Amino acid sequence: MEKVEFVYAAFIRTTPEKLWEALTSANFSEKYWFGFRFEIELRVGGKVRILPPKGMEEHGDHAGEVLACEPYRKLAYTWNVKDKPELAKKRDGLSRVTYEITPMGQQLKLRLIHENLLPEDVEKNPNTFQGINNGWPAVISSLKSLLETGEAIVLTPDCSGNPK
Amino acid sequence: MKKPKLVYTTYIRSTPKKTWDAITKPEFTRQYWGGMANVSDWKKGSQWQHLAKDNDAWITGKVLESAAPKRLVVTWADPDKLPDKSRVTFEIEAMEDMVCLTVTHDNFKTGSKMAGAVAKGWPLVLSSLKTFLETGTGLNAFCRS
Repeated sequence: MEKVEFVYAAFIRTTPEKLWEALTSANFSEKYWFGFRFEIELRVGGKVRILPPKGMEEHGDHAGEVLACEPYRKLAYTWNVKDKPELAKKRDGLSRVTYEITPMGQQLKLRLIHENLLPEDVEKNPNTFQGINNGWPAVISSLKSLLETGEAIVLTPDCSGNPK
Repeated sequence: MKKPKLVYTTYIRSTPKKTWDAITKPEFTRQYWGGMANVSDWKKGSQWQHLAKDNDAWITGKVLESAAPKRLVVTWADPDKLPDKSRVTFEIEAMEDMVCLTVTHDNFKTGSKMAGAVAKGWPLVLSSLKTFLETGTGLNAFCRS
């Protein structure tokens, strides 16, 4: 079976402390992650929940576990989405998300690795926020705007993201 | 062996026109692209150059498609290794009060080292472009990368 991974990097003008807070706080994530609240117990083995905003309950209540937690440097967790039954059968274990933070002068590099995915997790249509390959760039772009300008970019709440 | 194809997408609080200008006008590229200038008249068939501060061309190529402010396709080569050319596509899509910018670098020649050379560069350049358009100044991380 073909294993898929998605890697993305963004350079952000902020400090590792501020980025860490934004990545691990539900009040922050709500602003840049389509309204989702990212709740995490910051210890290896701790619970991760990604709770959808009102009206988007069908987009799941992700429930994973912390695999690595090195404050201001690295966070890894399992990504436990509610799959459709036909997709759940194909999955060989949960996928994993890792954030790596590397300071670089006045900015830092945030590297995101999402691995152990299925080809079905990747969306070919670029004009949507569906799919790992469309969703992560939108979320990280919005996070970057929030940290650099104080304002997240507006992501269409229904996840359709249809261009005008 | 599968040929490399680099794709980077970023969402920017800006307009297609401003994003297009930021990519195609040297007075803007210098502010976020490590001081480099993108110079051309951006007409189909024209040459374009990616110039350092001393006007030394680091990259050169031809404009393959030019549909301002939505789509620009250019060839990309080191002037000392012109046959080793690849292709870069910029796509700018308006979405609500922002744009979705997707840059695809592909069509690398077999055995070319260019993909490896630019793979780390695009996320930095395009992160810096986003910061430039949203805050007025680009990132200053080029000498460290």
